[in-house]
Amino acid sequence: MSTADIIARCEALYEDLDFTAARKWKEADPSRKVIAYMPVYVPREIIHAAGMLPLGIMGGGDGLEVIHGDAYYQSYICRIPRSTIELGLSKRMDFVDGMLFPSICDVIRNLSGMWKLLFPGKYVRYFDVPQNYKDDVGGSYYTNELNELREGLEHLSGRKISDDALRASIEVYNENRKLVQAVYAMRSREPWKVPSSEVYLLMRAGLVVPVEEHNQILRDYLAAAEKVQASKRDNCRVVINGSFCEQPPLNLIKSIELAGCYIVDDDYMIVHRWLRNPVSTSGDPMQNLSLAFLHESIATAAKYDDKEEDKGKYLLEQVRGNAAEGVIFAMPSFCDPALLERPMLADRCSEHNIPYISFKYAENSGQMQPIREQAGTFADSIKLWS
Amino acid sequence: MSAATSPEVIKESSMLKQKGMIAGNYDRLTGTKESGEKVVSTFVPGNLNELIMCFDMVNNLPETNAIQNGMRKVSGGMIMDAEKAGHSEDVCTYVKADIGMMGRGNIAPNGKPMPAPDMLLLSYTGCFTFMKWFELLRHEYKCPTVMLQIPYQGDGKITKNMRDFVVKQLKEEVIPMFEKVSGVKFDIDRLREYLKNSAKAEDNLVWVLESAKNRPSPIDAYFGGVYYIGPMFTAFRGTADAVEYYDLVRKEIEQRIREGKGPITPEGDMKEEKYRLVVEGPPNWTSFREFWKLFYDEGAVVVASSYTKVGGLYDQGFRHDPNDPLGTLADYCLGCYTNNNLPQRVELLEKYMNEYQADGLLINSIKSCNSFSAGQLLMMREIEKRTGKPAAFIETDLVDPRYFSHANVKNRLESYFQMVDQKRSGASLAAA
Ligand code: SF4
Ligand code: SF4
Repeated sequence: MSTADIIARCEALYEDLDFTAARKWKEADPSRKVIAYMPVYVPREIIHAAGMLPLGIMGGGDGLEVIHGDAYYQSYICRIPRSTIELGLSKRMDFVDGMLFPSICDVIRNLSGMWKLLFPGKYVRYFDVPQNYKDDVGGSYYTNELNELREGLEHLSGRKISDDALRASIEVYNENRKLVQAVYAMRSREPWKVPSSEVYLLMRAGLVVPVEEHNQILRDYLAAAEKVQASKRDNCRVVINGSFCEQPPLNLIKSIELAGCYIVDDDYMIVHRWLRNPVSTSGDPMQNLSLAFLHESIATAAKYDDKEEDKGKYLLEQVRGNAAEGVIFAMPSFCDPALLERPMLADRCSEHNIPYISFKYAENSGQMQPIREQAGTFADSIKLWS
Repeated sequence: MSAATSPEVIKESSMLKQKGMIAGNYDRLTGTKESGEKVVSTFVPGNLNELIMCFDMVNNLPETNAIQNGMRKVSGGMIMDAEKAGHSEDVCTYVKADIGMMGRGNIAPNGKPMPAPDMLLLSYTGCFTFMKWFELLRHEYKCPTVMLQIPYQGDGKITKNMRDFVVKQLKEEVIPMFEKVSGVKFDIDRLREYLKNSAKAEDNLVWVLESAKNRPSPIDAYFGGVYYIGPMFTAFRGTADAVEYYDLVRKEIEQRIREGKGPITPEGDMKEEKYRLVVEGPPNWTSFREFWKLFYDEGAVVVASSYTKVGGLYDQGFRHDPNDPLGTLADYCLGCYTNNNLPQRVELLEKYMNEYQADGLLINSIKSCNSFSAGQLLMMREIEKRTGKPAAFIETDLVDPRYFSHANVKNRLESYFQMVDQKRSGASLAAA
């Protein structure tokens, strides 16, 4: 299989806002259940161990006509909640049995309550995570939260989730993390062979198909990409920051590449890379997931940095680890977490002489020309001054 | 969000008392260089004033500073300063007003510069922005910062796990940090004494808020309400001053009820009570007086509001409990209005509509505040559906004058009052 074949399949999954693949998965066995989740992180291992399919929802993108959703939101609120409501009200998610709303911002937080009001009878959980990273403080709180999630899913399916099943699921997701990291590493090494738009679509696919299938897609892609013949361009290497929730249109990512930037790291769909190392499969699995969250999570605006000196540390690592020459802060309009975080990250970049630019987008932004020009000028200036 | 200073023209003795208390706190804040007192900055929801007092520290609430600046009409320039310095036009204006104020020397209303905080108590209650806001302040001040995470009531209840987590953070993070910064050892009995004062004052605050069930209502529970919640939500809960203040207010309102008077407004007693409203959302501060006037000119009185619950749902039964000092602080933080989920918020508003015999609901949707605003359109529909009463939606901002359009708000309110009239005449026709 060529990379083009694989990406064509991923693109079809990405464009399918009826989630046909997930529907089919569910239809294959009447006992199956699907649990949707929003950005930015949920422990999918627990859903998987319950025999359910975790389904990542990233809004409706630029392919969805929002008819009802706008009536639920003021103009000064980002797009993702309104297109997500649209997905719900237009019955595109009618096969979904439950939905998790991670603790990322007040918009998603409030959406959890809206979901309860709009879809009574569905399993809805606001998924809280600790902002305190001590094992016996934030850790014990989080372990209990995870257990509540486990019990909620057990109640939904009428089946217990065994520790062994959890360990097995952790194993599968460890494999997934390894493969995802391998794709990212390959792109960083040879971005001319692994375009960012492809990486993006590969990761999007991982939100809507079973993890085992995603693992196979990633393996196939890695093998196929090795054989790609492409020549290196005189592009500059950039890290994207701020796009962890509402997603840019695919065209925006392509525009950045066309403007002369190799994206060598990003924060799109960080659920796949939230935990930086494998989670232990021995001992208490809930404890292990909890500890991994406390000590192995990447940094993002939705997380509290315990110490001032840690602010921007992860971004600096992304820059250095990938030999990036600049940072593009690309954030959804009206996204409080990303936009409030940016000045602090920008200061860190300045302190370390890392050039950066910023712009805002919406998931349905149509005009790419200004962004292409801005990214192009940025790339030129980096080449000129580096 | 926070309680404001009172509008200047209310000249009851409680008003003068509150004015004195606020001025005293600003004098204390700006005099720390001489007094050697330490300053802690924290937020109104989840404000642990009793605990702060145990360490002899002075409480500085940046939301209140932003409101002060809003009412004195200087916040607009501060916000623009912050935007020029790289803060997005899309984010909460309290944050930008605060950052802009810092850039202009942090001048308090008494004209003196405020000291840099010795500590930031990031009481992360009911608003995600709080976390980023204090990270931004820490980024500037580089001072000790302690996070107190208050889990959100996603399922509409406070679980044991949430409560234990908050108590543990108080014991293992917050109190040790206070001891370190202040040099004062924590004394739980001292805390108990302050909590006793809090509960006394809370009883009277509830009495005052519930007095709006009378017809005519002797108070306005939104525009006047911000004045009544002032001491309770800011640097005075737990003090003898606050106890005295709420005694005083209660007596004044009792007198108004005896005299059959409506609420006091900046232009004197409100005459006829034509409309009784429930309001959801914070007020606009930059045009506070003009905004209020649009209501009392039409004979509209707000009988209950959600904004006056951001610092605690006392009217739903919560009282600080001296017998369980840390547990009660946890319950308090967990119970603030914006830490309630949307179905709980809808239920509360519905309850207010019924218990206060309101004619309708008005939502003042604040551009800055996702915590309040995201979901309000659905809340509006739910209330209309459940009560059959008309609801209206207006959009303004807290302290950014660019987002207060007097003409728009006026038009909207006028047509809303007409709608209420129509609904009433429809109802009386149907009854005839
Ligand atoms: S885009 Fe930003 S503000 Fe909007 S839901 Fe996502 S994190 Fe929240
Ligand atoms: S977002 Fe709302 S609650 Fe949060 S700081 Fe701003 S005004 Fe206050």
